Amino acid sequence: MKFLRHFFLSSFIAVMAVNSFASTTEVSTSAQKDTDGFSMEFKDPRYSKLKTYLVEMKDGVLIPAELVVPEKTKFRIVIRNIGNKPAEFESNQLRQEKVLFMGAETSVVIIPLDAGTYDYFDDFAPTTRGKIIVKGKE
Amino acid sequence: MGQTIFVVCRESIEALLVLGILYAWMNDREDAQTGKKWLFAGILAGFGLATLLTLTLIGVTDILGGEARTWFEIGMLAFASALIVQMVMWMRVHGRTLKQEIENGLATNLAGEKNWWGVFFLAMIAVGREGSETVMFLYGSLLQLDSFASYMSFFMAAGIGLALAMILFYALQLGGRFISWKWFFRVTEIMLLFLGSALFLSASEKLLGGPLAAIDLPGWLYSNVWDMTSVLSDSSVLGNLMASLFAYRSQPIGWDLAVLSTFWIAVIVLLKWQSTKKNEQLARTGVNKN
Repeated sequence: MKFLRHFFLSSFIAVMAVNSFASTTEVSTSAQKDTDGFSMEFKDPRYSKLKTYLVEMKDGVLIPAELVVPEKTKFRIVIRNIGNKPAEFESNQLRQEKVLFMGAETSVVIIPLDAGTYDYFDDFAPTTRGKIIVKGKE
Repeated sequence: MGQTIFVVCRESIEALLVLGILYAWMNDREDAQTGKKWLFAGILAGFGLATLLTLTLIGVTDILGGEARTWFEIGMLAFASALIVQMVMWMRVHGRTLKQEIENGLATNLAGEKNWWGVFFLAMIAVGREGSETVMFLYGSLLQLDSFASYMSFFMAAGIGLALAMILFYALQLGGRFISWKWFFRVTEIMLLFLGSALFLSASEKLLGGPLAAIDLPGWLYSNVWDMTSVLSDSSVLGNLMASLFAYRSQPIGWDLAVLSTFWIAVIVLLKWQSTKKNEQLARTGVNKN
């Protein structure tokens, strides 16, 4: 079993040697809040249908570690791993689990939530917890 | 180092628990030796599946795009859940008559082989699912290493994590020995069914968050029915384990309850139907003999 593990690891190295990643440079907009206290939406032409927020993961750090979103509204979170290690965006409360390699980007759609607090974290480094605060418009 | 131990140990434990239940479930059976071979083959195939999944995750190959990957995961989970139910049903008929059949020389290898495919696929899916995350994590960490000492500590950490998981696995197997086999068989059967429900639920949740995300379903399906996060949060280590083995949710929404009740009603109906059919058969053969 150990031999297999080593074999797979070394074959990855061989394949990855020819692979390169695109790096992302934009600033996380969702760290800021608007006048009503909601997180700023992340504008991306690919995801224009739903409210979209950006969460960046950097070696166990979540940027931002707090999102404020409106209740009973479907929304999207774009997740980027900008760290030097693989990351796993996970939230049992939100029923999400996405593994991201270095430089990878993905997005998840969150179903309409009741008002309350929901958590999310990097499952590979679950020391820091992010939270999503869901609240009514007024 | 601590992180590597933690990740390897946790991911291995999840896979080993599933393998442990399968192993215990068929242990002490007449044809357990054959079953173990299938289980082992399934584990090996699982490593292959883990590799393939990792390759798609790190973007080396695009065999599975985002959409296709979600469907693949949903299909895999639903398939595993159906396999569990099928296996439990098969064993209910076969388990009781197996000894007799072998003694009478009536054991049909073909039927046995068909069932072992279930063990094979379940082992493969368990290892493949957890394995792909571990392999990617280890590979990503490996890329960051720069000195001989860091390599040493990395492989040691991975080894320790795996060893810790193995120790826990053996503790579980030992625990089984102190309990009567008949009872243990019942318990593993129920645990398998619960595992099936957990797999079915996560398949349905992936469906809800993926392909069904574009559709607006009735509001009650999305609403929390109750909240027992303060008792046992499914973000805690125990809650998380309970979620993957028993479909526990601390804040279930209408969708979860609808899916779980569908699963259990289907299982109960199937098992009831199976036992009435068996009773009828027994009655008929009894009449014929007399």
